[in-house]
Amino acid sequence: MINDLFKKIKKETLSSDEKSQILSVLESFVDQNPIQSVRSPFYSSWFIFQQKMVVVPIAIILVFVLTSGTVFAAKNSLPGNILYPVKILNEKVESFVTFDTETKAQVDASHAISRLNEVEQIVNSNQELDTETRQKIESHFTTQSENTIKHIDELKSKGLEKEASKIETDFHKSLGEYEKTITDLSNSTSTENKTKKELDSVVSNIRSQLEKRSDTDEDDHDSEEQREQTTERQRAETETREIERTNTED
Amino acid sequence: METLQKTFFESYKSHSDEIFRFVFFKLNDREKSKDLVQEVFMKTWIYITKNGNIGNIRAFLYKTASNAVIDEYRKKERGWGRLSSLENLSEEFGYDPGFDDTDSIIDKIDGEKAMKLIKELPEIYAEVVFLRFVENKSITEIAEITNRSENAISVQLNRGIKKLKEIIQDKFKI
Repeated sequence: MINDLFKKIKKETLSSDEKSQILSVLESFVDQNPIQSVRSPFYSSWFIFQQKMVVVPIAIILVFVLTSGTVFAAKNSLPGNILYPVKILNEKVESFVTFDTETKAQVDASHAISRLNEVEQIVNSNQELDTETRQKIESHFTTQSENTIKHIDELKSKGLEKEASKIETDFHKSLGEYEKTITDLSNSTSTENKTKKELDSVVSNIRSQLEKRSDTDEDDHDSEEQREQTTERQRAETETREIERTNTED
Repeated sequence: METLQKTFFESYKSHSDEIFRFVFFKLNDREKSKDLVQEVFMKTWIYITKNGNIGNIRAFLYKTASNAVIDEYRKKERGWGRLSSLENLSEEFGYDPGFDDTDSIIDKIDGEKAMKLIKELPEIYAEVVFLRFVENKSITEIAEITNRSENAISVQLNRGIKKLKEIIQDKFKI
């Protein structure tokens, strides 16, 4: 009886269409990411040096010539396009191979903003923004925004307040611009159009990311207020001391 | 280089279904599982481009898939894959306990529902039962995929099967 249960599960497979679809994405991906020279322990360092001198420039040229078309195509792809997963994975790789926290924050911020740009492009090209597409975009947007915030916090904890603040302000500004753009798009969309509901959901997600930023801003605002109060108190104390000194002299 | 590409695509042809089933079993979301299968093979290819041939590509794919599922759990922070309560199973399976026998119960449910039934097991048992009896993995292979000892796997398998029988009996009042 239990064996029959297992046999049923074994029948769950990808359909031939699904398999071919994934295969064609993988073929593009493999073309786009060729094999790097694999090191062998038998190579002497001089041989590696000589080999690199020759191989690296050729590889760069070859990679550029062979893959620039696909990279470009993937970069401009939208959800639903066969190259879109390649674009997302490229972004993940780009973020992964960036080690400097400041650059990492900038890279993730630009990826998050790209998601919002995709929403704008879809609607402007008169395509319907369906729930599945919106969820896919939002899922990446949320992750990338959260990663940006995480890196900004890391920068702050390292004492790089100025750098963190600049990225934060730029990111906040871009989010604000897209909040306005997508709200405008929603307002100009008929209430019967399903896209409107999806656009409103994106706007609410942007606002929630902005609120996360605002929390920090509020903290900053509080400390600014505290600073002002301290300065005022110091000024009052100085004035009091001055008056006391004058009275003593008198 | 061409050999590596060839091996990679052959691996896709041979193992994509089982990796899909493994991910689907964990996520209960067909569309998401398709995306993850693609991601697993992409990551595997990136590994190959940097490090050359992978000794046991099947085990590597399982490990990568397992990590991708964990990432997905973290990302969503929602209880993927936990089935609705046992009490709702009959309703979900379209089964009325009073009027059926075992064989016809199994006949009635499809692969996806059968997966859900196994997922009623505690996760630690569900995974080993799935890998052993659905994917026909050896104890050694399961130990490698799950990073547990072979002894632990054997014990978990016995307990898992025992528990699965209890679940089916209890569920369908056999």
